Amino acid sequence: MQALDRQLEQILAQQVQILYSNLLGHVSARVMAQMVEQRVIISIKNAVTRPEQLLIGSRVRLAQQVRACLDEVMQPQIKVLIEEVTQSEVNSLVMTTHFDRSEIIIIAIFTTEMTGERLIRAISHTAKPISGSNVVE
Amino acid sequence: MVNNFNQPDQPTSGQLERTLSHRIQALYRNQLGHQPGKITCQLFDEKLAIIVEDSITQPEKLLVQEGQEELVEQVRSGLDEAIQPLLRLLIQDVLNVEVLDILSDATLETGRTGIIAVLSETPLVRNPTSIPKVKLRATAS
Repeated sequence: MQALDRQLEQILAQQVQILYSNLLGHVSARVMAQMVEQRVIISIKNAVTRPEQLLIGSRVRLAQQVRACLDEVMQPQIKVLIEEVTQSEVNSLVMTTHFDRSEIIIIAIFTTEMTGERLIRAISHTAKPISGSNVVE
Repeated sequence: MVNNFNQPDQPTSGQLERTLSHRIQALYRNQLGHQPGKITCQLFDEKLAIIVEDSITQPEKLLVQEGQEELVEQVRSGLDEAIQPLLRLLIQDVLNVEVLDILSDATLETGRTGIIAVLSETPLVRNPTSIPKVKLRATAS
């Protein structure tokens, strides 16, 4: 069960990294995912893009406004991606950015708990190409 | 005044313009994490015109797609503000003349940025008559 968890976490982290890079052209972000009971916690480190970093120096509020808008755009896409990779419905998703640490934390809560059977189904599903914007072109 | 004491070891205007293009491209890459398209630099009189193709970064493009043009305009102005001091130093370093003023604007629809740098004097080059307007002034004086 734990090995399946780790496998799915790895797939999810890779897919989020690809999505983030495709959307923002920011390739140096590092993504980690962790399944905990009915939740998945995703950490995107080195998440703040170069333009935002430049703005933080002189226009912090503008940088925060930009990030809030980017989060708003990305949030539904990340939700769809998590649902597609895990083959599970996400009930709610929270996304927060910490500028000081250049880190984004995403917490997605599934409608029902991930069982071993569902993990196997999700992993076998992700062996096929994932559709949508998370595919590297 | 045009300095006609050109030396054979001085660069041509074309060489200076090419060096500027390469270094501005590197500036965009390093500061904005964005690889712009073609960069054209053209010296004319005591000025330098720069056109940067595909100058809009990916986060800005994403915001434009979401209808946030007003926010992107502010972002552009903030980024220009942050880059201009570095651009000024870069131009001064390559042309070896002072930059008095930098004017710049970007068009979100085409992704093009236009920059004009006003110089304290025309840079010394091996072929001063190839710089537009300098030729006219040189023949008039």
